[in-house]
Amino acid sequence: MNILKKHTNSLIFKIFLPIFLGFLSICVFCFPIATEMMQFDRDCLMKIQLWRLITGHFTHFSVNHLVWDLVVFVSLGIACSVKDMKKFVTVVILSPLIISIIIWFVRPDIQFYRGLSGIDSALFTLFALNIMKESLKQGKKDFSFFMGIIMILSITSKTIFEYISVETLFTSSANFIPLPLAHLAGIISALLIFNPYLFRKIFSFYPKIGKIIFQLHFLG
Amino acid sequence: MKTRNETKQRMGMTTKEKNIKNLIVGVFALCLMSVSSFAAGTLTPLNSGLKPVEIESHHVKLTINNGFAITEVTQRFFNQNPSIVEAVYSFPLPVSASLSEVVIHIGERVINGEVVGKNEAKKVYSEEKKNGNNVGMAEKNKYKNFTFTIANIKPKESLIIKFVYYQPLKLNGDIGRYAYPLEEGHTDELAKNFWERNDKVASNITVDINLKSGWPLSSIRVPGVIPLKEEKKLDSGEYKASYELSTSLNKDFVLYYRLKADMPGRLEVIPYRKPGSKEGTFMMIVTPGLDLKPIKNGADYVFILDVSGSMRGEKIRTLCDGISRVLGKMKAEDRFKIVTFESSACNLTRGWINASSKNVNRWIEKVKKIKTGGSTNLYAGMSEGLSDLDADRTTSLVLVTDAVTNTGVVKPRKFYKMLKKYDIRVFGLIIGNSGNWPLMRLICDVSGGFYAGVSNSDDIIGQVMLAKQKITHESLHNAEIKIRGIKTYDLTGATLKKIYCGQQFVVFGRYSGEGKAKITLEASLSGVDKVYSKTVEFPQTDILNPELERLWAIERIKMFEDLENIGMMPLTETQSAIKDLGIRCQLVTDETSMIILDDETFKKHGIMRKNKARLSAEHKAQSKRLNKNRRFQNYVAQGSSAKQDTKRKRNKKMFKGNIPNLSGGGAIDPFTAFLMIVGSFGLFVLNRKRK
Repeated sequence: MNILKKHTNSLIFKIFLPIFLGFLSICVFCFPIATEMMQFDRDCLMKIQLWRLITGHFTHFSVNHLVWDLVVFVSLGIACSVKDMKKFVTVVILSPLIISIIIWFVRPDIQFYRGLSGIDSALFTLFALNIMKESLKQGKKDFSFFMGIIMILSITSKTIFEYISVETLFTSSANFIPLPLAHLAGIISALLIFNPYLFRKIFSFYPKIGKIIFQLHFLG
Repeated sequence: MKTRNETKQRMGMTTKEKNIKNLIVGVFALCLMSVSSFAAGTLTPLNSGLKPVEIESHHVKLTINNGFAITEVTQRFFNQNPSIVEAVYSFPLPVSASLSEVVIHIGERVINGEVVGKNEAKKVYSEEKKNGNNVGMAEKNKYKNFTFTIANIKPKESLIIKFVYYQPLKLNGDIGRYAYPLEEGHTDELAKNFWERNDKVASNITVDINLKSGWPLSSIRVPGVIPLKEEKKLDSGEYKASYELSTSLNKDFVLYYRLKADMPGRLEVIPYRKPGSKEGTFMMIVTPGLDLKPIKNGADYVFILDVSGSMRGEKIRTLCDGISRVLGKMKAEDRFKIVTFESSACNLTRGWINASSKNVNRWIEKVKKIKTGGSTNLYAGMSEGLSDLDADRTTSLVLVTDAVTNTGVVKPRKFYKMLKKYDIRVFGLIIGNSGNWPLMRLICDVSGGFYAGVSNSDDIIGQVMLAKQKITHESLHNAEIKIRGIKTYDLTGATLKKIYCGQQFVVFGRYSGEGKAKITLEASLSGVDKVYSKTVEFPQTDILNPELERLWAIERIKMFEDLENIGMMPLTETQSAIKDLGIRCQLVTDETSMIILDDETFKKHGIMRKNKARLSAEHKAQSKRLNKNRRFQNYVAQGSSAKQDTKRKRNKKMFKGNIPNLSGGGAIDPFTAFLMIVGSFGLFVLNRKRK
């Protein structure tokens, strides 16, 4: 266990993990059958193929879609995992789940969902929160703390604006409808994961589930 | 005529008796006209004391083979009366349907249908009925329904009736939709004064589906029904299934099929030409793969909602649900106006309302409370909707109705003249069955809009989202298909005012000669001319799709009807052209009917067996397609032979992009990616400096 812990805490592993996950996304994209088996598909989810809630985020519609999602995922993934490995792992596991559940209930017209961008939004929020937390630990709210707030607010307001105005500001795709809701869900999931007590409180109606998620959060 | 006079003399009728007879014939004719309003089921005259003709079984066999659907319906009827009766069966007219075959089995006897002029069919039917022979007749009642009448069914006798119709199917984005209409349309209340409908089936209604697509499928959906058995080979575009419905013919059967994501934009040409024939027929399916951008500026939307009596029940609920969802998706910069109409029009919002979330929520609640009643004055509704338009803003008019206009101005020509004055787009949604499709088609075509049918069995939100996708995205203007290198003529649908996001369009035509032809789609997008082209082979002989001739003829007939409606073709000329085409291609139209007789009686009346010859070619082709499906698929997708395949691989694609769909994706655009990465890096640097 100690050897495993030593390896997972090494800098190489922290850099390797996001790259490996990105590489997996490329592999999945190269094999359409794998994409079909992993994407968020409402009909298949009804047949209790629950893995799709998480794996769907690692599938993509086009090269353009994959490239931009991946560039952000790998760079922010490395930044987050270096800063706090356990939180990175938690975000990668829990945020897809939260995003998928939100899409399921809020956008019943969406049959299929693909894309890492929801997780990207979660990672960005997580990174900014980590910086703010470090700033607070030192007992003073300096410039980096306020910059963190500004970054989170700017990405949130951009996403909310896109969500209200239906279409994204800069993206237009003939292959799929861009879903700002997924980005919003990503930001929310990062906030929940960063503050596990808030998370546990939300799940207090279901203490067992809350406890499991709380424990999962401290894994690693 | 001589025979008729002799009969009259023999019967020795007085003038009074003749008048009474004329009156009865008149009432009967009125009744037959009224029959048109009913949905699927057998009809019995009210207060006749007769028991309804029982429907013992109802089986539907549906074959969807790339561009069109073949629906075969087989039913067993039983006369439970102690006397001879005439069975009348009617069902709502499916959109663009071409009734091609009717076969009736009575005991050992088999009688078949041939299309003749409407009056001739009626004359032969009356004569054979009077002689006590088995005879049937199939008629089309304008836009409302098909009616089958079968005479002289003996007491306790069973008979099996099989009818087949063809329909071209269009994809909407990556979604195909097929509807088998059964539900009551409520478009003519007068009929209920004459007929009692029996829609009960003694056993369950069964539907067998055989779907073959030239492109891989991703999923199939039949709302509200679970298949008894199904065989899915979605990657090779094949799907077979059996469904069992309830025991009432009162609910439409709707099937959706979705192509896999990322299917390319494409042009498919399916030809038919008999060996040795100088000319052939073709169906060209254009599926644009265009990157049409969302409209970002605020726009005005006028919702014109039909709240007349014919919209009661499920229809009004469907309408309210759909409109509420559209309102809920509007942008804050948009404005909307809601006009309702029945006998007169009412501007519900009393002007333009800004689409703020507060206003939208308030009006969603009001729309949900709309009540129905009165007659249908569509013209008044349209006039009210077109008043107070802002010339500086793009305006779309969303018309939701069954289009059965019966009060005020009803002439299609007047609608045409009114709409010609405005630069707006009309998007029509016809709710329920037996709606006035020709009028809706005219209204939408004249403005460069589009129309779609909505059944109560549809996924309403999906239908609304597909319509919204078209309204809220850019469109190609002044689109026109040009074919060079081969002589083509009698085209239908080659000139379009606009092409919308996800819209597939179908062009039918005739051609002579053979060889390569360059097909070009010319249009303008945001003021910039766009040209898309592809080279396609038109063959000397191709016998795989003889049904195309009938589908082409149906489209030509629609075109003649439109020309007559706008006053560009005299009524007599239109009627004559429709009759000629109907008889030539054996189609049941408003001017032609199908008379169902045995071989000897056809000979007796001197009726040529044109339909028999046509059906023989169609059946052969259908079995060939069934056995050689792979070849057919390749043909549609790429080319009809290996040689052509190779050539076409070298031929460049018509569209670079893929067809749009309703899949959702979490997409990071370059700006957001930049913002995230640079922002994180900045934070990282600040953090390091602080340490």
